[in-house]
Amino acid sequence: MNSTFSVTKDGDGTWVTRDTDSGRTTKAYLNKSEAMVAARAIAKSGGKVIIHGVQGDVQDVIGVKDASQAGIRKAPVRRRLSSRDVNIAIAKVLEKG
Amino acid sequence: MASEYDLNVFINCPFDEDYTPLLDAILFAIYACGYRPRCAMEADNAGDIRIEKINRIISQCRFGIHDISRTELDIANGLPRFNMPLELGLFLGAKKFGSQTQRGKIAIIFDTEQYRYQKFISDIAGQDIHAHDNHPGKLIRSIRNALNSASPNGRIPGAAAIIDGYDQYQSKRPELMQQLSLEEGDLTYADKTQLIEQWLQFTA
Repeated sequence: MNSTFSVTKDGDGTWVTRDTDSGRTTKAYLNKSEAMVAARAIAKSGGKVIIHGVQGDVQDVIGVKDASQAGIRKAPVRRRLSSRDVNIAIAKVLEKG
Repeated sequence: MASEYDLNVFINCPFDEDYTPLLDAILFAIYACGYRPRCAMEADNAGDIRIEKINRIISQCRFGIHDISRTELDIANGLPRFNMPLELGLFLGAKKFGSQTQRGKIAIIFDTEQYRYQKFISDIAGQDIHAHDNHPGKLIRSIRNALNSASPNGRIPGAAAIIDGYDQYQSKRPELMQQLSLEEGDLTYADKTQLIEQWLQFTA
C-alpha cells in the first residue's frame, strides 16, 4: 500500500477514513478513537494517514516512510526542527493542492 | 555492496540566499540518486579548525560537486571569493596524491558558462566543466547523469522525474516555510537538508 488517507470528522458527526487521491470514504466510525485504530492499521500496512481535528485542522501524520524505506541517505547534521512539525506542515501544504 | 565513501558527495558551493534554489537542486539530485550530501556546513563545532574539517569530509567522499560560478567581486570589500576554488584544489589534490581509494575520486565541476573558467582558473583545463546557466534543471540533469554513470547501486531515476519533484517542492516551499514560521534567513544548512529529506520521504 502506498496511498495517502485522512481521518476527518464528517458533517453527520461520524469520523471517517478517506482515500485522499480518490476522495472516496473508505469507512465511517462512531468516534475518533475507532477511526484512529483503523488509521494505525492503514499505517502498519504501508499507507500514510493525515489525522485531522474536530475543526478540520491537521493534527498529526502517521505512516510516513522512514529514510531507509524511502531510499534517503540522511545528511549527518544536527536537526533543529521537529520532524512531526515538518510532516504536519508538508501535509497542510499538499492538502491545499 | 557500496561503502559509505562510495555514496558520499562533497558539496562545494555558495551558501547565500541567492544560491538557495541551486543548492536545493544539488541536494534533490543527490538524495534522489541514492547518495548522501556532505559539506563543511554540516557541523557547528567551533572547536574544529575549518580547513581540517573540510579535509576530513573530502577524504570521506568519492564524489565532489564544485560550483565555481560565484567568483565575482564582493560588493563590501571588492575582493573575489576564493573558498570554492580552494576546496576544488584540495579535492583534486586528494585525487592526485592520495591513497588508491582517494585516486578514484570523481569531481563534477560547474560554472555558469562552459569556458568562462579559462579567464580566472585556467589551470583546471582538461577537467570536464559543466555549464548550468544558473538553471536548476540543468544542474540536476548533469549531476544525475554523472552519478548514474558511476552508480554502484544500478538504476537511478531519470532526470525528468527528479526535476518534476524539485519543481513541485520549489512551488510549495514558500508555503511550507510559512507553515513552520520560518524565513529564508532563518534556515541553516541542516534545516535545508531536513526539509528536503522529509519532503522526499513524505512524497515517496
